[in-house]
Amino acid sequence: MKTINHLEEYKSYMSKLGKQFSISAYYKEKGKAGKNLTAEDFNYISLHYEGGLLQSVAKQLDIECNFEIVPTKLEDYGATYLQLSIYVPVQGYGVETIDLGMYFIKSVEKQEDTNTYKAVCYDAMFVTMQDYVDMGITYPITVRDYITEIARYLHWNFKNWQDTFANYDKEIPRELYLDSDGKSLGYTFRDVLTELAQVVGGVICVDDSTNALEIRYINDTNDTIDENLLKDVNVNFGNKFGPINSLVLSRSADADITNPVEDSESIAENGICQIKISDNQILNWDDRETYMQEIFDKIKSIEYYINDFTSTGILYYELLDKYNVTIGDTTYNCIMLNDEIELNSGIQEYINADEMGEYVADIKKSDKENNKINKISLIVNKQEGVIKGLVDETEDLRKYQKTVTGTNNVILTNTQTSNGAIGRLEISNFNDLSLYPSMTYPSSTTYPGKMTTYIIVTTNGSTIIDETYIDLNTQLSGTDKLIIDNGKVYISRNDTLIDTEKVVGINTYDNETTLYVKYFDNLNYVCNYIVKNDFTTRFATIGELNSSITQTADSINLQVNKKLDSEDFTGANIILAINQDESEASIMADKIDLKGKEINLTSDDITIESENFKVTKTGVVTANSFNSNNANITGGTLKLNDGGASSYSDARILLQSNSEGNYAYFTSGQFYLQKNGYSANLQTGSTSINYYIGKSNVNLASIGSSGIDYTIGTAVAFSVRENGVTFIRDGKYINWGPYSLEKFKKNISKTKICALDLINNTDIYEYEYKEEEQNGKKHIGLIIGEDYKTPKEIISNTKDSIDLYAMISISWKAIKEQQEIIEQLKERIEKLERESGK
Amino acid sequence: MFIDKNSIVIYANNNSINIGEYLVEAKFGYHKLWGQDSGRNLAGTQTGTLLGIFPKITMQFRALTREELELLAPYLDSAYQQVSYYDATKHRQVLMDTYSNDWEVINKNIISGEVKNAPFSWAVISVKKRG
Repeated sequence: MKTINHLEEYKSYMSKLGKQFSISAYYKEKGKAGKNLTAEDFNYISLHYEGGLLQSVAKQLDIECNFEIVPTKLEDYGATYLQLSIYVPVQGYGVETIDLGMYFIKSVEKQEDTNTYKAVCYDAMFVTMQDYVDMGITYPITVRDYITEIARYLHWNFKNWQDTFANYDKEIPRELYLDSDGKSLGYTFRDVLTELAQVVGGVICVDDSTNALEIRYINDTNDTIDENLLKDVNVNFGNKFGPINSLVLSRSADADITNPVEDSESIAENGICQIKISDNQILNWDDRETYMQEIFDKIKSIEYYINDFTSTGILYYELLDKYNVTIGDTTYNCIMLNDEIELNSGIQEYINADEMGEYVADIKKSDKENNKINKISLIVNKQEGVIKGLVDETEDLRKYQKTVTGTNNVILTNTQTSNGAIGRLEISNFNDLSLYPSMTYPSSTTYPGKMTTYIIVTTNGSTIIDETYIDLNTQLSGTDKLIIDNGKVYISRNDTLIDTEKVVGINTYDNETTLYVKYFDNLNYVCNYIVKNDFTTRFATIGELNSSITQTADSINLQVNKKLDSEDFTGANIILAINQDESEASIMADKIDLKGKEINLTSDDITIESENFKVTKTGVVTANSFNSNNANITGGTLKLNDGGASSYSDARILLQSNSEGNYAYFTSGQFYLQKNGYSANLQTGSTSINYYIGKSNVNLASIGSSGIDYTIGTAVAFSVRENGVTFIRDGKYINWGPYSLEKFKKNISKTKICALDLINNTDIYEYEYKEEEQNGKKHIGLIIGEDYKTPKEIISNTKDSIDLYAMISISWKAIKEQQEIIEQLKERIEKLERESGK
Repeated sequence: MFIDKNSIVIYANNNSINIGEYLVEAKFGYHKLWGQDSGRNLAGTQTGTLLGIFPKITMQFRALTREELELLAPYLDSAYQQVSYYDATKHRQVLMDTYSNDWEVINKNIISGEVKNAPFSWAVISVKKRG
């Protein structure tokens, strides 16, 4: 409040007909001599500000003058200005001077028709209307030192530099209003001061007398004005706003609201009046709740009448002055928030104050109803992983409350296990004191007819789940009520609410909870509680959720941390972090589940890379291992570089069945098969290729490429060379032939085949093989087929080839038969020769 | 209060004239001007800012000849004047900046040296409030 030496005389003078005033001004332009100005030099002066708590407030001066005036350049701040005072000659008591302060000219228009100048000016807040820049501050820094540094940078004095205002000693850990490169994030100094005003729980403005930056709080002037100073039109006094009794902080978009700091007694008496500070950079971090109490201490209990009136000219109230207006028998307590002083032909002063939050951009008064469930933060359906908009759901939360009544007990339905679901429980009708006079409680002590401890029993079905003991140190009777409001215990007695300073938690349980006071009948119950729903932190999970979305101009960071501490869960932490900036987007989680039919990576230069797996932009896949139930690779080439592995353990392609010991593997020079002890091993060397067949690690056969050698164990072997085929058995070279030892044969008998007949009845053909190139050379041999005379005796068991051994054997028999015929013919010739005497 | 009509001197257009000889009457008025905030307060009391007292001299001219009218006309036409007059409250001659209202004169005949116009009045009002 400005100093008025003879206040009551002044008020009287200002309310009368015939008051007069004059203007004294001083205009200084950089580089020029200053000018003393009077009312003659002005056609019009209007001074106004729109203020409110938790803001920075600037005063604006609009003038129309007859002298040339130029805008103040920021760099000339302090060198070009206009200083203004009003003089009021209070008859008989001297002249009262009302200093309106120093102003800096923002803009000027010349009115050519009247040769006057219209100018818009601001108080020293003018200098804050520039982009916030790096001031070279070393962090961490206390709030007080930070404001001091801002004032110093702006060439401004700071009135409170030694004061212990709210949160003055809290530390700001880092630069909050510039990006990591020190570039502007779009804040002005004015914006920063507005946020600092919220941090200190007051207003940041200019002190007119010193022109210094000031942190201002509500100032109770104990001054009263009456209807003599109010014009007879436009006098409006509305409802009372406040008292403020709750404070919450929220991050952007009304998300993540803190638990409130509140005055529960005031809430119980007056209903909730909550202030919410949102989107404050300083109050956006994990330590934000440490600021709340001191802020709340500055704003709690603030109350005033909403008002709008025109005065005959008061002029001495300053922003946040608390004063009273008496009209008749009614007194309205008011706070100066908005003021407009118009000096034209006469003095007009327009004063008004609205509800806080109506015009303060970053502060909202939450609806009282919704904040009865005041544990709501960001609405997350944790069970389904769905995040829903807070505002809409907040409005709907009322449907999740239910009030039930009962006598003897009260039954709460659709409940869920929680210790915070009961909002308000009211128990009354404690009339029968003679119940259980000999009841033993709580130990062997007997309290005949008296009970000061009340036991609230909760049951789930017929099972008593819990008993909550409330020791009141007094006996309830008559019209007394026992009230439990959000856990706090009160006694209502003779219309007075007594805070017992006790806090209890009453548990509810799944589906249905019955509640009653033990040992008492005929009590009346009224219970307001929250039914099962997805949207309160009491019910969504048995756990806690922290989520944050941090967004700057070039990055988005989304984090969800879920900590489960119920025995029904594994207790695993699930962390999802998505971070995207201008050059990189990363997603971190224990498990990332992408559902859909197609994942489309359309960039030409996509690279997928992890510690053990990589796909380059050219499609090269590098992996430590590859497991698949059924992998099909079509087209192209599958190349594996084994680095020269030569054994199972180093192999680069391994096919392995579930049975141990059954596998196949490829290396760069080897293909190995093994099953049930049998193995096939194809090896290539620099000059040879070998194929080994074995059993139980013993070679049964091998094929080599230096020539080709076929080894079948050690019993028989044959080699194929350019010059022929060689058979070896027991180390001896043998001619190829079947086994003839008697021990290999059974059912032995001499053949009775007539070999000559067989041979004479066999046709020999000339033929070519179908797959053979025609070169004019024909083969001679037998044909197995229909209409071909080939005896079955020489057809092999497979019926597709000639048994050469059988054919030779029959040929041998045919020779014997022919020899027998020859012998017979010789004998006959000899007989005929004897008979002819020759 | 008018004491000596010869005390009224009009300065205009870089000339001056002692206008008293042309007058039959001069009325000195001291008019209060109230601000736009004038009205009643909530208690019903009249309130408001007194902007000041602005002197006004209303002069009644006698019938004038043509020559006299031609002499006075430029002064009567002027928008701004300075007027020197005797102010009884100050006990001295006072010079004030004034503006004037319209003037009208009735001629029933063509005026000449002998035939005169009808009497008429003209007023000057102080631009500033009386100090």
